[in-house]
Amino acid sequence: MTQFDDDELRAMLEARAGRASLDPVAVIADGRRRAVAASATRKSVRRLVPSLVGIGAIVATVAVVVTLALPTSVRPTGSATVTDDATPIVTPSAVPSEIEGAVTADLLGRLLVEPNTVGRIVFLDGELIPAQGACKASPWCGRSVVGLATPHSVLPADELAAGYMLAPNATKDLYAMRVGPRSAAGLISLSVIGRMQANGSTVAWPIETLAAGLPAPPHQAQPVEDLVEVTGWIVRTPVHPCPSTFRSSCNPTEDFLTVDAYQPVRSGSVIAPPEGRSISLRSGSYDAWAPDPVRFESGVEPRRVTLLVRPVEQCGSRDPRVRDGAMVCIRPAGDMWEVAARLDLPR
Amino acid sequence: LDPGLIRRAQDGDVESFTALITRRVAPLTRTAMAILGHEADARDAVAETIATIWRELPRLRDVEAFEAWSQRILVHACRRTLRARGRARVREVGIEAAGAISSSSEGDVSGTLARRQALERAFERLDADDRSLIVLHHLDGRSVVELAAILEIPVGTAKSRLHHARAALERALAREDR
Repeated sequence: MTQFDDDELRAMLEARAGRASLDPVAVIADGRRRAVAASATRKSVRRLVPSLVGIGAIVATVAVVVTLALPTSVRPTGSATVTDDATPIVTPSAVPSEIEGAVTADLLGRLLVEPNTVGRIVFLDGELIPAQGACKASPWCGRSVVGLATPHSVLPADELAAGYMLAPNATKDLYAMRVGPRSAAGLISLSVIGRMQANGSTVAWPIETLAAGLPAPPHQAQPVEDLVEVTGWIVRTPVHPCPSTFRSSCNPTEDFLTVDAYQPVRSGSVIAPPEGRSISLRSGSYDAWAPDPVRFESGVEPRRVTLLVRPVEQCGSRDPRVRDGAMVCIRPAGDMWEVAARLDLPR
Repeated sequence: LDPGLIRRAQDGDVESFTALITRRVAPLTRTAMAILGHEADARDAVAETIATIWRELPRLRDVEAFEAWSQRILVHACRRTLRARGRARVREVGIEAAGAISSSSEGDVSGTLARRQALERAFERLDADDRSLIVLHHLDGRSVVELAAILEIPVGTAKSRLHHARAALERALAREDR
């Protein structure tokens, strides 16, 4: 019994080494505390500590992102959005012609060292995974987490529901995420907005294609809603009266995203944008997402925007308001789009 | 590891250091966990190692030696951790071992598992230097020459110490069997 061979010894060591569920976040957080403590007594170190504080969080995040599967050249680009749903939208000083840069370790690194990143949208490849066992040593344990590429690297995502994490058929995909506030340890949090639906090697879709009908998403059972990126002119119709019978369900304005800078006009009793060159947005979208909304006579000025939108059914059998009898449709069922985020605001 | 990356990190380039350390975190953690056997201790040792690497990297002359150099820092960190811990630590039982025992009927515990546990208890009796030598050689696959480079000792001394460490493990296992 006192003898052992190399295989036995290696097996014991392998089991011992693999027992931990350390994630880089926890390791780096400890390292940072030590570096900061050392800086109090070592003048030579003090110069380096601010950088190391940033590095600590970067390493944890980059460890996740460097394993992304898609080549950078075909990966959809990341955004420079700084908008938050609750934050008033300002007029951009310049609207970039395209979304800046692919999401790489460099971008996440910048997010960690730059101030005021809350609300920024990033695209990341990854897989939603169960949180159990993935964050044993993490201060985020007990909260929903999303793992990217590896179950041992976790990032917190406060807005995720538990059901998302337990999806049995979750697949590795591209997700739009919003940067949240930092923890006391300086680590960023990311929340999932939705999964991007690819259009070839990009996630951008022409308005005309959306107007003609978006292809069915490839992962219908996936609980995270699919999003598409689309650029156009957002506009709102002039206020029009609602029939008294349907006043509770009728919207006095309608919002569209159009190919051309379209000024809604009334033609008799019909207010509609050019057919096939616009999509309907949920009522209130212009006020919420247009840069510096401006009223123009009884309507508004069109605004150029790049949005993340998801399809919703309006006045169809799956519309819960119709199903519950709370709404009577005065128009036939049609596609309606909900704005999830805006991508084209400057940094 | 790309020597250019190491040199840029030496010059204080944060992104290069980030890329560099990202590639080393997993193997360092694995080695620390094998030596220390305790998750919190392993985390401390690796974190301390990362901080030390950042602080001392500008003084590393041979960038080709970065991997061995970083492993040496880790071994020193593990040694300090073990000495600070003393020998009174409660031993952690792996999930797979606990599960196997709890799901087995009395007397049905696999002999292999029992033997592995005895071997691990014996390993826990070793000092930091012996543990490090055994882990670097038998887990990380370091040759005696590489051990000598990591520990900054002559090759002959490394060979002798490795032999001594293995003999110490056999003696410790014998004590477990009594």
